[in-house]
Amino acid sequence: MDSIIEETDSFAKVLESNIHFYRELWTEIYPVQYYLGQNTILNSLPNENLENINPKYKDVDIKYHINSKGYRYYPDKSIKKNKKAFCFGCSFTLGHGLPDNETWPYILGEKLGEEWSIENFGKSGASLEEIVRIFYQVIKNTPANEMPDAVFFLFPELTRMSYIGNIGNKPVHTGIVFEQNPEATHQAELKFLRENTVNGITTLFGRQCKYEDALIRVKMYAYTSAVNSFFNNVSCFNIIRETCSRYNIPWSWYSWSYTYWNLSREVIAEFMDINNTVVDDNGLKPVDYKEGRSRDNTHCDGYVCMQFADILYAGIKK
Amino acid sequence: MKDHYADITKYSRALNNHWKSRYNHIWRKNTPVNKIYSRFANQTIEWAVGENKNYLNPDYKDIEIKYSIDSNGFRVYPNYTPFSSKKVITYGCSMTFGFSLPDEHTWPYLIAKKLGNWQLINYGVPAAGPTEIARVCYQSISCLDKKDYPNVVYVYFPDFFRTEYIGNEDYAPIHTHLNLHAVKYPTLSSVAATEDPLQIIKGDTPETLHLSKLYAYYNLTSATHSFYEMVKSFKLIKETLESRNIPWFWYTWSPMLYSLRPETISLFFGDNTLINDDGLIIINRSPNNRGRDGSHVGLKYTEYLSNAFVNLFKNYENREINL
Repeated sequence: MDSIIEETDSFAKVLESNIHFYRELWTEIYPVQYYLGQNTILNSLPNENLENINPKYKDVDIKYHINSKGYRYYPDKSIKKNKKAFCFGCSFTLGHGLPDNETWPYILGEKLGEEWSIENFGKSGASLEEIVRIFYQVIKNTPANEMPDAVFFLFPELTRMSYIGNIGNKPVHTGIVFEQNPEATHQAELKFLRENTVNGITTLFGRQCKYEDALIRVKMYAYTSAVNSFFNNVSCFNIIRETCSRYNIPWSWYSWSYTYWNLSREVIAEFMDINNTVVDDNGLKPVDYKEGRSRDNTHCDGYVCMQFADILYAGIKK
Repeated sequence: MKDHYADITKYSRALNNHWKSRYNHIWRKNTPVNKIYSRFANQTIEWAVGENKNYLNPDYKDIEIKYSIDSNGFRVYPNYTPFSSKKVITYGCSMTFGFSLPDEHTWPYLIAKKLGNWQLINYGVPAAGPTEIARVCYQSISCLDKKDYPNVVYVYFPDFFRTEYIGNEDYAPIHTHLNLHAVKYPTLSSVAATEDPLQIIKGDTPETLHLSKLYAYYNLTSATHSFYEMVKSFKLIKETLESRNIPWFWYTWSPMLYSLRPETISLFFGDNTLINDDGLIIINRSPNNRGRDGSHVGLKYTEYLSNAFVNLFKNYENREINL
């Protein structure tokens, strides 16, 4: 019993002494994104691979304007207007490897019309959990008379979950090792980790973290079940639903997750919502990916973003 | 890449095919179901599931305990007659269910009486963790019409290390607990000693595969991760209730949270609890005051907790009147 008390007390001590690491997680403090810097213009993102540039973007000038909170902004779309839309998501929302006018929040802004301003809260590598957390924190820090007139979400692969280590590190994501060849995947992960660790520090999704924590993440990856991830997503989805309902904010959602695309309309209707997205008889309407890739050949291109914008626009119009 | 998509389709198909039969009590937009106790739907049982029959607290030697279970598996109070149209709803784990206690010793019952014989719904689920509590709260409130909203809600959180894991093959959520350094669960030691996690997940049968994944999860959950999960569940409860203007109060028996500063409690949770300048007020769980099984809390504790909870609501009402 003494040992339990000792442990519990030590947990509180760890949390209290590392509060600066954790105070931004799920609290009502504005979510500042530090890894892109603040008030700056970048020619590439820190985690953008420029070794294999898509020829289509060879001569396209891509500039990432980063605002004081560390999010991408559009010089011509983020200025104050009568109405405003907030966009949340992962790198597909940030517009990884894309010029401003090919990112979906920008295209959506064009569709919404000139009286709308657009704020892009996309964060590279974010899981739905992290997206919901950013959304929650942004809304809690927005004065009542400045609430958005619409909120849009593009959810990433649903198997991305957040894992937070004990040692004061930022959360890292877990996913699924699909079972066709888990061993190879796992070994590849471990190899990648070993090769990318210097002095006990490694990088995951563009963020530095301790090797031990990254290792745990890789292990968690192997153990998380798809169903567990799905229900975790449902819980996050309901936080959005309730928060938007509390502040009377219309919202619309879509996902580029293949797992979502394969869910039946019934499942989407029962656990998520079909009234603020686009579904057909088979569930979420998949977009046409073709070979459309951004400058880094990994993320989607402007053509795919246009489809995201169309769906999210149709979702809000419902 | 082709295999990857085939697998994704497989998982999605599992959800598509089984949600009605296996996951139908989880996160759906209708009245929650306590799956374990729904086996005793509309029955009265003398022993709770897993209650220790080998130990009998002498204080309860002559006290008859009956658990009346409704059609969804929640405890109801057949001998309690509310006189008021006002309603209180309680959420929590076995401490809220009233494990090893007769109806009139449980804190939800005491609160309903003290508020002025209000109507009572007790959604306590034995062994529930914060995620399950948030789920039951969301389901039970989101399906109500405005006219049926409760006048007050109380949430009594268990130890936040009870995080939840839902396997692909097994269909009921299972709780994981933290593998505290000081308390190595014996059954897990062999798992902990295995260096390669893939050796662990190579179960021989679907059952052992599932269990081994659970054990591995168990070992990997960090205290901070569990804490984070609890904060997330807290936010869902908060938004669900506050978006409907339902007053609510919370407390926990998790000793971990007693050690946190009041500023930290406010930062992650809220002040709608029993709190003073030192942090959460500690209600002493004296070993001399226990329920029938000698493990869960007894009447002195539930009296104290119910009084404190009722006072929180009274103070809130007075503030509202003064405003």
